[in-house]
Amino acid sequence: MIKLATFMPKYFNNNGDQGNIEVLAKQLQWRSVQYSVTSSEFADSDFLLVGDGSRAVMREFESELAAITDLVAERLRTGKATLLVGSAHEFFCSRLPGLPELNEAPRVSEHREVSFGDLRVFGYRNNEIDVNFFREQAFISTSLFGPILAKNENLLNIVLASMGVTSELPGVQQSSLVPVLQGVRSKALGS
Amino acid sequence: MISILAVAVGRIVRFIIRIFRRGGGSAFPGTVASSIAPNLLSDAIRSARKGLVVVSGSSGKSSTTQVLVALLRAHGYKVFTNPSTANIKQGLYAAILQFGDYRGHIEADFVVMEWDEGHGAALVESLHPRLAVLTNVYSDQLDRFVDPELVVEKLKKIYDHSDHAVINVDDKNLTQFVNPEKITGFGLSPSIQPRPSYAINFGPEPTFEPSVEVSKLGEKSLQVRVPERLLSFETKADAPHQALNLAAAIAAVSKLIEPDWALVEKTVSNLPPVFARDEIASVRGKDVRFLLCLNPTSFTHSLSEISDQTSPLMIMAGGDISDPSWLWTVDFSKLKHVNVVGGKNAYDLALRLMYQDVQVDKIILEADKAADAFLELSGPSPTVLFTADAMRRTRRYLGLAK
Repeated sequence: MIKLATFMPKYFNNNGDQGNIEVLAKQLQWRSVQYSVTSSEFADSDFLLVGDGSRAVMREFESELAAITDLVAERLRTGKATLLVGSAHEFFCSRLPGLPELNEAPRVSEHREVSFGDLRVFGYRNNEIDVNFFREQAFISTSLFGPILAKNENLLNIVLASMGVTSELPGVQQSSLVPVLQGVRSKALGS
Repeated sequence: MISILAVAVGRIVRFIIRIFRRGGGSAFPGTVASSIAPNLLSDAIRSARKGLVVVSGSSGKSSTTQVLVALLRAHGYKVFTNPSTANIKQGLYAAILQFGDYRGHIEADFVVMEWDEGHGAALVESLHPRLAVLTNVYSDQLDRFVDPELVVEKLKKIYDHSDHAVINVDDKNLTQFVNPEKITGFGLSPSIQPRPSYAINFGPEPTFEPSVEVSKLGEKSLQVRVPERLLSFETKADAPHQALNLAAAIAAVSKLIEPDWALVEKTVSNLPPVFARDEIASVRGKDVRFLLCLNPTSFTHSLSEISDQTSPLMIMAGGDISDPSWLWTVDFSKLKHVNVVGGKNAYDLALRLMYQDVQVDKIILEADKAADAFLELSGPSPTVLFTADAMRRTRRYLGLAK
């Protein structure tokens, strides 16, 4: 049974970040892999999502975020499947050695493709920081909002593989998704 | 003299644009006119005898403005207003071009304007409204406003530079910054559920007794309590967020004039629907239901209004959505099947639908081709859900634009 964990999904869901949990759940369901979703037990989860929160949410839950810092640090050390988005990306980058140091940059609000090594990932950037993507194995920290796993099949496959899911997506879903993903990418990047 | 030139040039630009795009071209002529005569808007507004009333907030601006204008006109006042699609600075200038005289002067008692939050905050210092109606703050358009707290700042600026304000007292994003002496409140009775989901706010919750309260929601009817009276309305706008728009307009009219309450009830009950706010229009011999979905709240409401058997069904996500990620905050899972997914963000919408196991037949980016494909389909309940940009394009193509 694969355990998907998400931190305070009611509050850390600016821009539909919780869609990433839906994407993983559906991908597992399509492959007939058993899974559960929890918002309280993070320690032994196969995947952890901390989405983007508003300024009010970040102020209110700063201590709760701080309380999982050690846990996030351990996941970073081991490269375990984790996705930090937006304000969570900024929060942990400012506290965890091993994550990039962020500097202020002019605000950019647009779809953008970023490179990290051989990996190319696209999503919507809307912030004033200079580092928009970081990856250590399946540990991902990014300022690219929204359902990034839905849009980037390469990133999704890294996360699935890290959870031990290597089976192919059934043909019905695969054939439906491929042209749609191409369309999403073309529209976002204008190619 | 400069105003006459600005009006003339702006009107020529508008005329040329509308030759090629029927129903279009509201913003650019306004840009041209404002660059020639920056004072055109403020001069026009100052000519209104009873001053400027503005309506702003994340959602409900158009509906509230429409009802308020109708109520003032029903009481015999001349009202100048801007079309709902022209609530940004350029659009406000364009409205002067369209409805003002050759100098840009308007013949009106009241000017009632729907203001985009961002553009309104930039205009308010110079225009100084007599009354500001502030509807709500949602976690919406984050690609533009970044954070709801920045929307609050903009609305507070509008409030600070207005003589008086009509405020949704259910939304503490608004009540936290107001002075009780300077507001007239409206809200929902505590018994009405579900409540709208305003932007998350963990701050204090000041308590204000609303002067105008939606006391009961029925099937195509609602009741609103005003001081010493209970008003009854027949209306299709019977969802909580729609009832709040009506309450806002009633609170505003009660602040501006001495209303004839029987006339208020009659006027509201006879209001035509705003285009696509759950309107049925005849298109190519078919009665097609149109529902405008501006944000997650109205998308969710529109989905609750249609059957899971609706057929044929077209959903369109237009180019007004900069970042379609918010579509993932809408639950589409009640749907089994969407015949056509359209609009510039059609692929993003289709991706969202597929992850909720909703079957999608066709994905068509162009509004005209999507409309043609949809109208070829047979079925008992042709229905279109669309965002504002897709609505405008579809409306124009189908000849439903004025």
